[in-house]
Amino acid sequence: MVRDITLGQFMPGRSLIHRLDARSKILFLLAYIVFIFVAGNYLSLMLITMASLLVILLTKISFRMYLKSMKVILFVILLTGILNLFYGSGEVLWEWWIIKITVGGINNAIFVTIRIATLVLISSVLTFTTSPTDLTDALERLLKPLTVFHIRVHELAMMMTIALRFIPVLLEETDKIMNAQKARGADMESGSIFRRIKALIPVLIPLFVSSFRRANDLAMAMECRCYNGGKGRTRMRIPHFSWLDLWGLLFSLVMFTGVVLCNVYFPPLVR
Amino acid sequence: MSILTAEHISYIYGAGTSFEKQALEDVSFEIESGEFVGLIGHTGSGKSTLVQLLNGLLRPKEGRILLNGKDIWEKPKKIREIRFKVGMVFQYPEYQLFEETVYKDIAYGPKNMGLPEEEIDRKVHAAAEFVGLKPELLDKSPFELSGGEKRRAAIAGVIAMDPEVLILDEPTAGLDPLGRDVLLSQIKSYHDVRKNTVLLVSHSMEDIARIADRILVMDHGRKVMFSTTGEVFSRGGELESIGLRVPQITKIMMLLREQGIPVPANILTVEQAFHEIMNLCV
Repeated sequence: MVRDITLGQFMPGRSLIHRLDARSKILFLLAYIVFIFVAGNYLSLMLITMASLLVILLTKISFRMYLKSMKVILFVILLTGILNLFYGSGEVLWEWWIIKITVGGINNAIFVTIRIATLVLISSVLTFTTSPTDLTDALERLLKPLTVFHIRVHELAMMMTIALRFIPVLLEETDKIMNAQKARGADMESGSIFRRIKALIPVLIPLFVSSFRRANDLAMAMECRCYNGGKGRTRMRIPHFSWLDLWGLLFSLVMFTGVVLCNVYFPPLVR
Repeated sequence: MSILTAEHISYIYGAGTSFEKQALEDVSFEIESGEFVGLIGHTGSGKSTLVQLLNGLLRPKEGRILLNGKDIWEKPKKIREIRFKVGMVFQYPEYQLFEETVYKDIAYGPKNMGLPEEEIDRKVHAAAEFVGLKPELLDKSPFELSGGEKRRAAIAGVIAMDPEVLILDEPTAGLDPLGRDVLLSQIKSYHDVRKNTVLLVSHSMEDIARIADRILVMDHGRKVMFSTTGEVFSRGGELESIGLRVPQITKIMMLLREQGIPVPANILTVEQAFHEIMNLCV
C-alpha cells in the first residue's frame, strides 16, 4: 500500500533534542556535516561519530527507527563503499587482471561508509525530532537575511509548509483512486514496465485534477482570511533560544575542537 | 441460493505494527441472489472495510468469502475476475473519472474485461440509460459535466461491467434532495430490471427503509443484526445504543402507538404512514 511509506518522519517527544530550538538544530546539523568531512583520520572520525551517536541516544527514539531510515539508502552506501575499495594507493594486497586492492583502498572504503552512515543518522535526528511546521518556520527565520536580495523567503517557506502538509492527503487520495480503478479492473501488478506505466494513467489524471481542485480551495480559503504574504504577519508561537541551545553549542564546540586536534596531532589516513 | 457468503472473516489494519487496529472481527452472513441489502453502521464500524473485502480489494486475515459457493481467493491471480463480478462504486466516485470522453470512461471497465467492441458499445449505452445520462453527454469530457452528472457517469462506469453483485458506498452523499431521490429510484429500477444483487451502504435510514429488503447492521467491526428491514427498524432502542436511529416516520408512528392510537408497528415510509392514518380517519 502507498500509505505505508513514511515521509513525515516526525516523532513527537520531550527529549533534550526535541526541546532544542529548530534554528539551532538546523545550524548544528550543518556544522556536524562539515566536521564529518573535516575529519581526516580514524580517530577524528570516531570522535564525531561518537558525538552523533550520543545525540541519537539523547533523542530517546528507538535505534530501530534510525536503522529504518538508513535502509532506504543502504544500497547507495554499499555501492560507494565497494567502489572506493578499488581506488587508493599504498601496498597492494590482492591483484587480479586490472583490479587491485590496496591498503589505501580498504581504508577508503571503510572511511567513506562510516562517513555516509553518520551523515544519514545525524540528518535523521533533525527530521525525527522537529515537526515540519517548526522546521519550515526555522528555515524562514534563518533565511530572512536573503530578503535583502529580493528573495521572497516567506513565500518559499509557505509553499514548503503547504507541500509537506498535503503529502499525507495526496497519499490517501492515491490509495482511494487506485482502489476505485482496481475495482474497474485496472491491472497494475502485472505486465511489462510499459504496460504498468500506461496502467497508471487512470490514477494520475484524477490525482492531478483533484490536486488542482484542492489548490484552488486552499487559495480561496487563504484569501477569505485575508492572507497576503509575509508582510506584517505575526506568529502565535515565537521560538526562543534557551540554555539548552547554549549547552548544545558548548558540547558541539568541544567535539569540533577535538576533531581538529586529532587531525593535527595524528597522521592522516593512508589513501 | 446464496450468492455471497462471508465465513468468520476478520481484518486487521497495520498488523504487527504499533498502529494495529482490528477493523472486522468474526463476521459471517449470507446474501441471497437477487436481494437488495442495506448496510448501516456509524463511522468507523467497519462498513468500508467489509465492502472492500467482498470484492477482493482487501484480503481477509481470517475466514473466507464465497461467491456462488467458491472462495474468491482460491486463485489470487484471478482476483480481477471477481472484481468484475462484484462491482464496487466508492464514495464520491466522480473523482475517479479520467478519460477524454464520458463514453470512454464508462467503457473502461468493460474494456478491461476484454469484451468485443459491439458489446462494450451496447453496455455503455445501457448503463448510461440506467443512470439517466443523456446520450449527447457521452461525447463530452467528463470534467465538463455538473457534479450530479459526474456522479451518474461514474456509477454507470461500474454498472457497465454488468456485475452480479453491485456494491454502492453512499452513492447519494453530497447530492441535493431531488438528486438523491432520483438516483435512488434509478438504482432500485436497475435492481428490478436486472434482477441482480445490490448492497447499499448508507447513513440515511430513510433511504435504506425505502429501498432495502434486508439490513445488515455493523458496530465496532462486528455484525449486530442482519434481518428484514421491518424487523431491524422495530428494534429502535438497540439501534440508538450503537449510534444509529430509525427513520423519523417510524419513530413518529411508534410514539403514536404508545399514545394508544391503533396504527400498525414497523411503518417505514411516509407513504405507508399516510395510508394508515388516512384509513383511521375514514
